[in-house]
Amino acid sequence: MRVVTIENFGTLGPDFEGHEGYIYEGDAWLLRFTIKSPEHFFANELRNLCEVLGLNLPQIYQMTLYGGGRGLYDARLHISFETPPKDNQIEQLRIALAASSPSDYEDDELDSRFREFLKTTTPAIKSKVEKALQQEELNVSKDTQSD
Amino acid sequence: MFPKTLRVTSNAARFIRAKSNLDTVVQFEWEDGQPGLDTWGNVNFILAETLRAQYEVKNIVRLEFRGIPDTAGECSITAEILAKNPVRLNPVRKILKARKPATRQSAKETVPFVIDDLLDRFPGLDERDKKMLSAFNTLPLPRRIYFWQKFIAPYFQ
Repeated sequence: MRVVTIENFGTLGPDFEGHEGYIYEGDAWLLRFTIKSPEHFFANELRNLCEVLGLNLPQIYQMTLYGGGRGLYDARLHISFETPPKDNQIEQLRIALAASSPSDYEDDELDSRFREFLKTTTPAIKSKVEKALQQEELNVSKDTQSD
Repeated sequence: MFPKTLRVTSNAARFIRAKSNLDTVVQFEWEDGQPGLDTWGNVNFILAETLRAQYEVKNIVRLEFRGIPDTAGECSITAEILAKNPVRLNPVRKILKARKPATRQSAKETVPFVIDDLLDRFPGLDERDKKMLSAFNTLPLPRRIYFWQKFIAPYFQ
């Protein structure tokens, strides 16, 4: 299937001045695979896939992950390639990524709300939350050791 | 980061099918940035806020990102999640309770200008806050959601 993305569709008038936008054309590929954990996929594997295949994220024009009540695992990526990938690039996607450091969610909504909370809360509440956070870190550490 | 076009509210979610007497699939639709760790965090935040105690990460059964042409990488997102009946959909808590009102400054008052704040990734946070933020952001996602729901969200409305 040929994928054609048209910028400024139906918007240019006869008096239009400036940049008309681009038309991107590519061949649609469907990549199917299973993932071990959505967290690892979003933190590491998706970025690696883009690097290996030489993609910009918007070229993945549709991505669906399915699960059956035990977590998401079945991934379907629809990708528009301007230059189709080579076999060795596809093969490279099977290589396991080195164990990474814990995922750092530094720009999501929870991060911004926690920042706001820290800036405005009272010292007493902050101390209570700090203690709970330390306990949570201990729990995670224990879980990791038992794994 | 959430774009301004974020449309998820409790009434944007709808029940699409009931599965036995126990589980219902609830569908959510909204717009956010490109798929990545931050949007995955946002997905979980939205679902956890809306479903509260009903929410478990493992119960997401479909998550779809569709790139929107003519945008800087924005996506429309559909999430479907199993939830036990009866399902109650709650609003996303946005505002801190009992937040101190902003005080009006006198026209003659001199406000210190701290250049370091412009260079700082964490403006307004001291060392202790930064340490807490880092510890929170590196928790595994289910723990982070649990921590949010139990210890932080009650201070929001």
